[in-house]
Amino acid sequence: MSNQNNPLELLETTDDVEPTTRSERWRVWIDLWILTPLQIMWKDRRTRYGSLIILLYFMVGTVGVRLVSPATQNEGPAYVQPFDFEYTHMVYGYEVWQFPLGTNGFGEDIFAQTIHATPAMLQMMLAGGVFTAFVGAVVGIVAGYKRGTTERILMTAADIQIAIPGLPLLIVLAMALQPRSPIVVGLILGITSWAGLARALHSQVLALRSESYVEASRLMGFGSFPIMRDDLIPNIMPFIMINFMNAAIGIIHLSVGLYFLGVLPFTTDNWGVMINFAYNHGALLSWAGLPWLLAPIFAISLLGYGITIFSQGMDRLFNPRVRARHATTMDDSDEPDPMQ
Amino acid sequence: MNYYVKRVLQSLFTIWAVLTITFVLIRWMPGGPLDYLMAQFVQGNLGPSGTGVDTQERIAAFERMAEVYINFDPTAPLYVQYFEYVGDVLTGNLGRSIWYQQPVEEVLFPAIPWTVFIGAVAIFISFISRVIVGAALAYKEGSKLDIGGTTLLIWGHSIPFYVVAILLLYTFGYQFGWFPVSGRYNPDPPAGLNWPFIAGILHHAALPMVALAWASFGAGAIAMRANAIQILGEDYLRAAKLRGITSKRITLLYVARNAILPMYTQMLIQVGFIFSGSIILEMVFEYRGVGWYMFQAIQNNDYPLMMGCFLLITVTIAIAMLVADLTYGLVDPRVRRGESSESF
Repeated sequence: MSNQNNPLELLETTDDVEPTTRSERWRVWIDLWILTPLQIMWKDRRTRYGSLIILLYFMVGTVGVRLVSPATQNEGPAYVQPFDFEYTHMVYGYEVWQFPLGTNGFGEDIFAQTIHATPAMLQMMLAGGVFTAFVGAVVGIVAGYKRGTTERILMTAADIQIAIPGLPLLIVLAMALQPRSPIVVGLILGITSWAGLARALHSQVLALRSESYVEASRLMGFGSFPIMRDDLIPNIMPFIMINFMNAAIGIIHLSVGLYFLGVLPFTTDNWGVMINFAYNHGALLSWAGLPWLLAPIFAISLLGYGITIFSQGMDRLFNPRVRARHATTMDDSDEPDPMQ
Repeated sequence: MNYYVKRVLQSLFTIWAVLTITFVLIRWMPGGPLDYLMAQFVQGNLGPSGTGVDTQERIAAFERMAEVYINFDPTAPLYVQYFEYVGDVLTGNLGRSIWYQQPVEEVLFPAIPWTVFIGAVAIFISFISRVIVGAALAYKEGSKLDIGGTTLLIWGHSIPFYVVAILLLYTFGYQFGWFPVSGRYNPDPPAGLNWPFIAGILHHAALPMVALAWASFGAGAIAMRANAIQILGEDYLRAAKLRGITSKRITLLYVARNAILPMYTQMLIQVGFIFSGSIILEMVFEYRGVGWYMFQAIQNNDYPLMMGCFLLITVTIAIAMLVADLTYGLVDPRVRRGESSESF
């Protein structure tokens, strides 16, 4: 075949002869599922800034950790203040601060510590968020659609889980299991948050299951699983996604709290571990300890803020009522949208 | 079935489930209470030791000791252990603290008022401030104040309250020295109903209260703003204005009343949150309440005390949620019996 000899020819023929080739279909798919949503996201102030903040953390967690070497004890004097030009080093020919955010009481670079805490936190958030969203969705959808005994059992389980206070349960579990991998920590932290989502989804599915199109699918003889997959899940997916993000914020706060309490083993760098060391090793005693305390706090709150505004913006995009209002203000343009 | 009966039964079921979970954790947790007690016993830290004691006597002593500390004898059949444990807990016997060498309830119960005191005032502060801030933002919806205020609230909500606690302690406790950095009261004035003593208590409690109030402030104010905005657009408000009712009356009787109602359940659920949130809060301020004892129990591997705290916190939350559900119908006349099963 000549195709194997000349790749250009292959491209030409496929493009000319069949309009819906694989590459064409890919292009349509990319346009429909990636470019258009990105464009819509970019239009809204909240999703724009939210996604930029999340992207920043993602870059720090993947590329940043390779650029900044991990902190070591006594690499500088204790309590160097931020942006101190006394301590500089050369990076690619530029003279920059050696300790951009100063050093802590052990002479460790605070900036490097903050950076290197990011990957584990992202893994934790992802594992915990996916766990929460998955378990919550499965329990909520099945309970709402199946009704009867299944519903009663699943919802009672969710009610009990809601009634058991999260933090004390996690402390007891963390003491018992002593999880070391960030992913396992994330999964354990997710245990406390699936029930709320399951309960909310349950009532949504209860409303959806009597819609005419679901009724039609049932009369046409589709099984439970295809109906849940094709008729129910697309409708509640936005809600699940937003809850996934809220769960991720919850995981950040819980993990930082548990690391701060010292209940989880200190296997990885974590912002909570940094706060714990700052609290227990004298950072509170003088103003010089402020950067040691503020750096992890800022990292936590910026990530939480980014995810919150992103999920609020997504809510606007997904929520048909909000979208309709959005569209009318865009058309009439006599009433400016406060968020634009 | 009557809604109230159903709801009470559900709560009882929850409490039973929690008791069972606690039993399972005590009995089988690897490195948990039973293993720990055994290790302590083998090392001779607890129970009879020395050369004169034979094995039979030691085993008997261990069984007696397990009975005292964790409320059941691990060598008995499983169901007997379970019923012994549940029976003891239900009659108010929570076991014996290894660290304090006192019954758990004697260690824990005197700490409860301190935690409740901080929590109750914090909830009150948080409730008032979020109603005011939320309503103010709602009245100015779309203005610079609203956008800036909402941004600040979301930002504030992304900072966990215990981090706020540390910052408050750092700034106002250690650096400015305006508030004490640990403890519950001043040791000098005689305990009792005299002003110096009470002032000391308030002085010590101020920072923890503010930090705890923070926990529910951000999200609460945003929710209040949303409630108020929704109500401001209702038809009955326009009708009230047209009827010539003064705007002060409208604000108080129509807007405030309806916007605050949904926050009532939220507030009662926070009563339960006081206890679980107190673990980190009281550790930061070294404030000897229920949470501080739980933290100490974790540090010292004092499992009976830890499980006692866990049970106390859980049961409190179950009761608070029950009260929230049962009384919501009284507060909000729109909710009819049997329809309010999903108020949270």
